[in-house]
Amino acid sequence: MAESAGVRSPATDRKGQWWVISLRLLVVIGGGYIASSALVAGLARALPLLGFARSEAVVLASMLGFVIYLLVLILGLARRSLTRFVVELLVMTGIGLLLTLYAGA
Amino acid sequence: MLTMIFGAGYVAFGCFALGQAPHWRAVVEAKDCPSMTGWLLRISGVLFLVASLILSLAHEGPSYGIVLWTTSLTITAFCVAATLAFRPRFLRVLAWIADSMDSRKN
Amino acid sequence: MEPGFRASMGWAHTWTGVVVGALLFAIFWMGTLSVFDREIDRWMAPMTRVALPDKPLPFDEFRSTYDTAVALRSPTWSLVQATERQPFIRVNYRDKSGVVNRSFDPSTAQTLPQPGTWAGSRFLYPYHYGLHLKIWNIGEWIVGFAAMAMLLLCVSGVVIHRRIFVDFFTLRAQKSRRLVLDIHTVSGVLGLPFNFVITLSGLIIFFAVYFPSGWQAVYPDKQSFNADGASSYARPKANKPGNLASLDTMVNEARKLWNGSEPQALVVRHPGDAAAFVTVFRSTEQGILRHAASVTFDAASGALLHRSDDLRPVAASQRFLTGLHRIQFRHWTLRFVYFALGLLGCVLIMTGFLFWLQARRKRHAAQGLYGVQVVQGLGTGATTGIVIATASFMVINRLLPLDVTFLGYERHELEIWTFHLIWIAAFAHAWIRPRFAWKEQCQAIGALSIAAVLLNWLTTGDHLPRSLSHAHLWPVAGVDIMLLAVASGAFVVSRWLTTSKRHSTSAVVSVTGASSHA
Repeated sequence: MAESAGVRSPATDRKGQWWVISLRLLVVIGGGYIASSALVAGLARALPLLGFARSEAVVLASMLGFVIYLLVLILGLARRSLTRFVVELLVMTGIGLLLTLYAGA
Repeated sequence: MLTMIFGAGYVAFGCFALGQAPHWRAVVEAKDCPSMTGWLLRISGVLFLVASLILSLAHEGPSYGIVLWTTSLTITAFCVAATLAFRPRFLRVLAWIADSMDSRKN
Repeated sequence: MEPGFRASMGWAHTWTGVVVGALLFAIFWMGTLSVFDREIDRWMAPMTRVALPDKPLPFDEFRSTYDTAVALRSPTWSLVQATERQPFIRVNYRDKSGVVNRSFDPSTAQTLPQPGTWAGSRFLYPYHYGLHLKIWNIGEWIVGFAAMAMLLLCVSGVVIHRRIFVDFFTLRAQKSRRLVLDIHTVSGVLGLPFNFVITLSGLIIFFAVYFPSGWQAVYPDKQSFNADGASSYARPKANKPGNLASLDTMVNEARKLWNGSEPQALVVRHPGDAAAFVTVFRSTEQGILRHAASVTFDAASGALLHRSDDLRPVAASQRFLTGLHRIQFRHWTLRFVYFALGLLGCVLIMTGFLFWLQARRKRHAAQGLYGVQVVQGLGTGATTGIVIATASFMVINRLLPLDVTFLGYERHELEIWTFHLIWIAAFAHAWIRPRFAWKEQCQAIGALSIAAVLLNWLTTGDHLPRSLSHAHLWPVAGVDIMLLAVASGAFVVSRWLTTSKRHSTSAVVSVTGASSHA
């Protein structure tokens, strides 16, 4: 079982710490969505620099957004340290915002 | 034509399944699969899958063809699993063919 | 692979499955039924069981409805031709209170009576992506998050499945305890391409809704994005009266431009206005992706105004994936294949619940935990419960008289009320009688399905021998046959659940993500 292998997973923190799990879920699901959306916006503005038409960039970025969000969810659930994940989310959101504000026309 | 597309898929997964020891034993009943036969089965499996794909593309066109083939994989593989669970002896013919082809090589 | 990752994916898989599984079953179930939504329409609206004529009626036959729309100052007027799966002509326009739907016999142009039901295409199908919750589009958002959860379940399922190739075909039918888990893993692994692609493509249909940040970052508003990406045509009203030239002439020209492809529908915007224009749409039946979907003409003169271009590559792939998911094209084999794979997905979710309960039942009872009871109630209500509700929806459709109203609710709303009330009752039943819930609900499904077939016979006279011998009644036969198949399946499963109960009260099965598949 997970506990005997000395491996920590959220399941082992379960007893009496529902708020820890709820917080993680909120951060992973909500924060993940925000980060993914930011990256989608950033990509939508950055992709035309690679030669895509504007509408094409929007569609491609949005479709990739679902894959990005899935990877973010997996990352968030697999990371042991919530703090580290939050930092990663902030970095992603930051990159997205920067691209949105400064990339392309 | 559809029968051939799905039929080829079924045979392909039958070959893959028989290439796995527990299933071979269940079908042939208490005899281990010689490694050459196992290899032969896996190759046949791939060939039948390719055949199924080619037939599907040729008959249905590129877009319908690829969708039909991909979905046929699930259906035929599931049929093989069901065959193994409830009527393993149906696959005996396949095992016998593979075995006899193998002994001809040796 | 680090043990930590696999363990966390195991935790994620189990908990996502338990929490979202009920919702996912509803989505998968409604989606599976939607594959045959128009056939269910035929069954539930017997007045639409009409045969297609050899030659379709001309579009100009329905100009009187156009004049009505003009008189009502409707912003649009649309006409959809009869097709194989929807064999009547539909006309829509708006009056003060909302949309007016009118149906016409494809051979005689006579008005068909109102169906009084939303049946498959207006209830079951929209339920699939909106859960009938329209306030703030909250239903669509819930479905969106459930779909992401499904993608996570697919990926985590693969990660935690230790022996994915060794157990590829393994169904241990002799050991009924293991059979539930095996069905779950086999249907999960084998169904992976379909489940993953269907879920992702479903999300992709709504990319503009779920990731508004994309188009908002580039375009000032949605209209400009649509205009840029989809090559559509629009022009404002002139606020002067205008005439309508011959629709059939326009349709014939469109057909020529499409090298013989059939037009399926047309929409007139600004009816009665001098600046009115007619957009003719190509049939969706051919091909997963519809090329050059529309041609637009000036309403008064019939002059060609605009042809929609072929989509650019990325937009085309988005439309291809949309087409792949929505299966509007004509391909009966694939349609049946999608239905089967959809059912397999339902089996996947249901066996997931059954396995979770089976693995924890004894431990929770011994430790006085109530998790199993909650999940059992939830799981039963969500799976057999929604099937019972659907069967009841079809039974009440045959029982209610046309034009009935009750407490101010129209007939189609009464059917929907029945669906939801019975569903709630199924949840209640599952909580009140946990030990027999699955079995009794399976029996209820069987009984209701048979009742539906009998009621169809009694109320419409289209029993199986009759419906099988007339091509235009084959949809009815199909639904009847499916109901009978569901009934037999339900009775088989209820018997299996009774006999396997004797085995299931023995040893506890230990389950965590790491060791459950040894």
